[in-house]
Amino acid sequence: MIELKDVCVSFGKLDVLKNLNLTVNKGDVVAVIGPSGSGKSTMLRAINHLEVIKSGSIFVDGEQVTSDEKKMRAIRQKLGMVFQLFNLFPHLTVYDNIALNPRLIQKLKKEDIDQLVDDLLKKVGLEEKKFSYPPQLSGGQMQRIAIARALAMKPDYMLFDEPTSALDPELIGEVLLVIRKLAEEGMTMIIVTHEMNFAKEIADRILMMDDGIIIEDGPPEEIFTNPKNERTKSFLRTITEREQKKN
Amino acid sequence: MDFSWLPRYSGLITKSLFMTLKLSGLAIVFGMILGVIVGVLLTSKVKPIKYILRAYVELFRGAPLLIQLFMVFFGLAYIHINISLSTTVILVFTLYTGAYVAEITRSGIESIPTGQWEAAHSIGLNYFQIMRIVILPQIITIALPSLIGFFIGMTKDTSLASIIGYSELVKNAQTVMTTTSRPFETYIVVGILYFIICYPMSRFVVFVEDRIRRRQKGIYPVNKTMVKREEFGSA
Repeated sequence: MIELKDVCVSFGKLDVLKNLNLTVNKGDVVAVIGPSGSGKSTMLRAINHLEVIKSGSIFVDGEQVTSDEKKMRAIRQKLGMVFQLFNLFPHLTVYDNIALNPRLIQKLKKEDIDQLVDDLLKKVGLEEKKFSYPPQLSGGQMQRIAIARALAMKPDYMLFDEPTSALDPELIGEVLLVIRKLAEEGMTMIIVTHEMNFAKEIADRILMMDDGIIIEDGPPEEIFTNPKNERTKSFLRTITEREQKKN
Repeated sequence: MDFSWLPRYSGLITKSLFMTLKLSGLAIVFGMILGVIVGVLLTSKVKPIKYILRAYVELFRGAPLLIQLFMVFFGLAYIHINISLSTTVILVFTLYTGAYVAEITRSGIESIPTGQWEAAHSIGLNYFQIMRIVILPQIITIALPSLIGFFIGMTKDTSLASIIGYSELVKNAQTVMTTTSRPFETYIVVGILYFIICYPMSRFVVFVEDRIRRRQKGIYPVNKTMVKREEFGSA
């Protein structure tokens, strides 16, 4: 279970998260939507201590997220993080990118690491790229490798920070396919996304954020067909209009 | 032109060539060790350490190398520290090299996108693991050309050590010159010897740059978009 209690984050004078409360249970697939600057990514990053919170507290399975490096390392082992810009290590092969955590943190044996990497590459459909370097891959391939790298930690939760926002439209599908597979396997996930159709389809819970707070929280059917909040309505209207224009 | 004196002095010239190589070689090795450590510490958040090291780097990058040689040479004598001339010279060139390597290392570390740190933190690496596995190896490929460029310049600057009496190429060339009265020919020989040391180094830069480019084909466009997108930020 991931719990956020009265979490505040500020960047200088700007309050990005304002007394945010959230509980995510094991097995939940949560999609976070909302306009740019609403604090979606900041919330996700705060869970992994990539943003330092000003007040409030965050718990992962009852353990508090803290600046204590040793404790934080144990918490991070439960959290697989996928970034908008992939953040693969460009000087390491795909194999080494994925094998870093199993080798250095889990201290697995070489044969076990090889097996794990092969399994994960198969899962994301990139077996043939094992010894490629990230710059030799397409954006979609890089993001699938980044997902494999996060899964190599054997995490209990996966945090996706706009995993398809930096991708060309034709490459988005392959990444969503992998995420969908994970959802089907019962992985607990929090996904910050602008892909409304995808959110509608795979999430069992939608969070609508605006101006640093969660303004709506419920099952997709409810939020997409019958939003209560005025701002949710206008946000969804803009998105639909934009998508219609694209088509 | 008359080079008939050359065989007679070949022993001395070989010895001085060795002295030049020893000085620049040791300065590179010790300067690299010093510079990488200082460069990493320059990016640390501990302010007092940062200010002290910044002062060192600025001092040794800002003052002419010749003045540094004089200051250390006479300064050590002034405070009654007796070390050999050759140790003094190696010390100065190490400090000089260290300052430049530190600056190259610092700017390299800061050029790595923050996303690399975040990803490394998120998979649970500690600070030293991140530096050793993620950050420094990426800097080496970026910084190697400017590093070697600096080493070439520094090797040529070892000639300044002759002024305080270190017997490297230029110093001994003066001896040869006064006894043979053949200044032009002597300096031609010395010039060729410097060229023989430095030319392979500059060829090495070309070789390494080419290798990096080929191995990591396409890496630079990717990094550029990373930086650009991060400037926009994502909330």
